[in-house]
Amino acid sequence: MSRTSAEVVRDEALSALVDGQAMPDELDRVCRAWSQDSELRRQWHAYQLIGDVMRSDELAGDAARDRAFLSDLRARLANEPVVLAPAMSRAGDGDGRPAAKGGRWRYALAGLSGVAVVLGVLWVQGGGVTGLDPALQQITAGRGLPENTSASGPAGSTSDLNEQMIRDARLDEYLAAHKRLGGSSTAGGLSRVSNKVGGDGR
Amino acid sequence: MMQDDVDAPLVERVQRGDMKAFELLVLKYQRRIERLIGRMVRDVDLVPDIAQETFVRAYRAIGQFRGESAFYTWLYRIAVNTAKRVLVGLKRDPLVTEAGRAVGDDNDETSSVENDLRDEATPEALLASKEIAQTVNAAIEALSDDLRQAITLREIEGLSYEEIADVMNCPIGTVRSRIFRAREAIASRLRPLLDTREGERW
Repeated sequence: MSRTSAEVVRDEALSALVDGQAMPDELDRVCRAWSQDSELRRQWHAYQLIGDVMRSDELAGDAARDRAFLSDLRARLANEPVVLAPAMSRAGDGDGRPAAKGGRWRYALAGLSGVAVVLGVLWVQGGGVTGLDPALQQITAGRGLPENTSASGPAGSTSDLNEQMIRDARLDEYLAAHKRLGGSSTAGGLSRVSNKVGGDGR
Repeated sequence: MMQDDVDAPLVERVQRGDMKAFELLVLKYQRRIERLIGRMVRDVDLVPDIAQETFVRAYRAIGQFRGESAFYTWLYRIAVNTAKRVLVGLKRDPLVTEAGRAVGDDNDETSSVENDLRDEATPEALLASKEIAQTVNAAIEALSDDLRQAITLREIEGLSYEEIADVMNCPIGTVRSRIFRAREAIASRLRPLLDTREGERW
């Protein structure tokens, strides 16, 4: 079966990733392509199966079963809200400030409707967002995780992370309006605190 | 620690918001987790559900994973806890065992035979597993010495690329290439056995 050189390069990156030895850009390329490239997913499964079977014949099994498992799991995960922990210090970050002390927040807002939708990762400086009002839900409902939110390398300085802010004019307007109100951010989950978006400040 | 964990790059990627990257970890560990759960729970019909639940829990909690243990160790613990909870639930409520059975068919009479035999317990499935194991072994035997040694040191002995380079007295790039070519050769032999049937895809 003839393969393109692009496929060979892709699969070699995949092989390195199996061993935790992929370069950051290779990891990035694999992950970006994951949702679109079923060949990629097939190869990853095959490489993992090979390792399992080498270690134990017991783990040999029908690929159809593994496919069904993933398919079922996807359906369950689609209903899960995505909430990230506030950015804490991690190996390599160097920035040990807890998020609550005015450090940069990173969190994902989950839709409040029945099917949770990943709205993306927002970077908010200084003050926070006091929860979602219906307008924001409208804006962000239906958006998948934007490409530019995934980090392509090891955790770097916070200025790297700044560049990954979502660019959506309506979102920016919304945040600007809410910045004026100040208030505390909610870690993770959402609380509908107030629908008052006026000049009250709070 | 996290740095030595081959799963670290993927786990960190998920923690930064690329939730699709979680699927790579699922495809990697699903078989092992199911085997583990199968050893704990007598009713085999429950295994896929408990395994699914395990991954859902891991997905929810991955933001709090700090890399104090290897990712798989953490996942393993979640699997054990999830299975234990189910077992405790079963002890309390005998009717739960009935609920645990796959009840998807309207025609209970005609499908009772299928209900009694799980997918991999059928003669065809057992044969398929054996064939996969045999194909992997035969493919490894057919490799050149260098490729066979490289992939064996990696998958069975668990040596890092650096250690393998040391043992085989070659550059790390060569190790990476040899392991990749070994996987390629084995995967291409496996392909007909793992191939998707009409309409099924990863």
